[in-house]
Amino acid sequence: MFNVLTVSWGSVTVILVGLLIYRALIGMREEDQLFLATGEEHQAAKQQVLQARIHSVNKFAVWLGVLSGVLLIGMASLWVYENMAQR
Amino acid sequence: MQPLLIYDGRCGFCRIWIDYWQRLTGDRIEYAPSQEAGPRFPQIPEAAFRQAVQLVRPDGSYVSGARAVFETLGWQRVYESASWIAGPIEAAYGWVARHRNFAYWLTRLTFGKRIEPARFALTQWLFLRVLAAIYMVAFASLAVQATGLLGQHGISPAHDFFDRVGGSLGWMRYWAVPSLFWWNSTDMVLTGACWAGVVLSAVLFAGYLERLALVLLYVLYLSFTLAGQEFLSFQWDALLLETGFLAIFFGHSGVMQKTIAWLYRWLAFRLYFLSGFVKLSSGDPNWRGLSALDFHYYTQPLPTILAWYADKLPRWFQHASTFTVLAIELGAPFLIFAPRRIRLFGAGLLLGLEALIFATGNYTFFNLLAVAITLFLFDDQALRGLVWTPRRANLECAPSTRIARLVAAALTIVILPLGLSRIFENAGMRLPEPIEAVARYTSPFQIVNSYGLFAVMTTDRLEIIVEGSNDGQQWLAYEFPYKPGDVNRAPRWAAPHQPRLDWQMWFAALGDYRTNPWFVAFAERLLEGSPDVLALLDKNPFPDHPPRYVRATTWDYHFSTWEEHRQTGAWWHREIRGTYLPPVGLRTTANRHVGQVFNLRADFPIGAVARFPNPRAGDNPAPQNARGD
Repeated sequence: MFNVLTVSWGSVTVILVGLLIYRALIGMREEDQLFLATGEEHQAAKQQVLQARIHSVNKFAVWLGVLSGVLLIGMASLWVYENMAQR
Repeated sequence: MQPLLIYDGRCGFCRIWIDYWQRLTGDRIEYAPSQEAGPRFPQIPEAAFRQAVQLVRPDGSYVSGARAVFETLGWQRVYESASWIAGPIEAAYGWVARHRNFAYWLTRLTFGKRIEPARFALTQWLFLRVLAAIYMVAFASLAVQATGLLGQHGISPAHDFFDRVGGSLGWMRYWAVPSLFWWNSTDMVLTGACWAGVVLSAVLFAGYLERLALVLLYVLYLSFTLAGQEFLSFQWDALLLETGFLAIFFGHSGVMQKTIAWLYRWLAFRLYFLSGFVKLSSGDPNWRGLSALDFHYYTQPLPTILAWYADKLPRWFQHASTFTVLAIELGAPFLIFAPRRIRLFGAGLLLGLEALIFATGNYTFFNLLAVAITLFLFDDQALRGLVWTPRRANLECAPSTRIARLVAAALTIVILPLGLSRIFENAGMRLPEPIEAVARYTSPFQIVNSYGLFAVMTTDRLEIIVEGSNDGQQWLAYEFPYKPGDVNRAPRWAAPHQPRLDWQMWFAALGDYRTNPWFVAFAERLLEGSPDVLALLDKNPFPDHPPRYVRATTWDYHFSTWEEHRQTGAWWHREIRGTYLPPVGLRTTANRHVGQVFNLRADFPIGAVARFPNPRAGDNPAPQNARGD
């Protein structure tokens, strides 16, 4: 059981770290002000798409962060329980 | 008409920095993208706008590149001060302008989407509340121990200390030992001063008479640290004084807020960096071999219950943790001076380390204090939305007056080199004599101190068990509230309270009673049945009358294993090491008799407490090693 939890925690955390790196990379392209010449409105549309993507990545990252934390606490609890209960 | 700075509106790098400069210069300068304003200035070639910013002065003349930036920011004097300055600056500007993509990427990585001028009004407000809470804890913790430690019938009476020091120092006493308790150190005054500290902390917390409260709190705590001798000479006592002293100079002017924030960053750097530096410079093989955490959890002075579990983690994990601790303590302090995002990352590492130390060890208010200082790695922008402030909190940034600038400069001139001298001191080097002299003369006030915890990792936990007896046959142990004694009692949580006698017992175990004269006085107080001293203990096995004899033995303590804990419920196991203090009693006929019973050597101190190096009559009982080392 402990091994299953460890593998799960490791997987979730690796995905979380990957997601955070991805979030940082796409965040580099995010602007909070744009100077648009005529015919460059597509830049504003691009930014809107980018912001929507960042928003959904943020949501996933929060959930994965919570899951990683819960799994870590679960691992610690199981580790203590197994050692205490061992006969 | 104001000067107009024209920039390339399609350049992301330019937009970020122009936005920042706009906040710095306010209405003094106008800004416009070249795509919009360029056609209004036909005298400037279109290609020039793509190469560099252009500043159009009110008279129609214009300058470009680094010169335009310097004029915009009001630094033209620096630019014009010497001919050799302008060349390299223009070259650097040209390089950045040609590599704007890289510069943009670097800016986003280190500063984020936006650069805001650093403001510390909210940081300062939050810091003062945390500092008030720490002062309150420190004074309240002392209030319940002051008479037992320093009172008339305490272990190291303050009035004896002042008598002893006063005689040898003459008038210099007030400079060498600046303490209010020269005038009066009765039990009532000591306890009253502690509670006065608690009240002043509450006043500071509420935001009233802040500067007056900060001055009084500093003076009171300084008075206590000197009167408290070995019981108040811990690193966190010095750190609280240094932190409290700097806080006195807080103000609402921008220059003071920034100066104080940077001086706290300087303090944070010294605190963390020296903590790592001393571990390696001591040459301790346990730090260098990354095995220090194999021992730390059970050998530290007052472990928490979580330390018992942490001690059971695999060896590779302990070694990786030791490496991480060293990496954070030696590396993260340099991030304090890095651009914002990197600094915030560094702050996260330092706060994470503090949280882990807090979870596994009782280090009084030390971790809270370290966290408070680390707050200055954040600015208002980072804390906004995270901190609730009452409506009456003054978060305005007032204009900087001439006096504020002078005070800020004077403070920097004193604190910066003194801090440097402390770092050099640890590296075995010396700064020029004038700086060393200032360091010497100001040292009694503890405004700049040296830090560094656990320079050498102790690999054994020697625990002193103090016992009393009425017949010399049956010995009953005194139990301390937090230090290990009964092996079945789980490690307790004490922080942020500091049980100072429990802490001192850990240091005493590193030497013997001859190097810890206070310990003999402690035994004497137990023989007298001093209620003030007994109040510092958890269990007094002689509730009706004090014992005739007291002795102390040394034991080797280890955390119990999983197996031992399952079978017996014990948290510790221990083995006898030897005698720490041979049986002693007050000078009575009966004691001499017991001396014979125990077949003691002729110089054995039975009935001879008064013959020991007595802290109340002998030399200054300086601690045998640096607190926390």
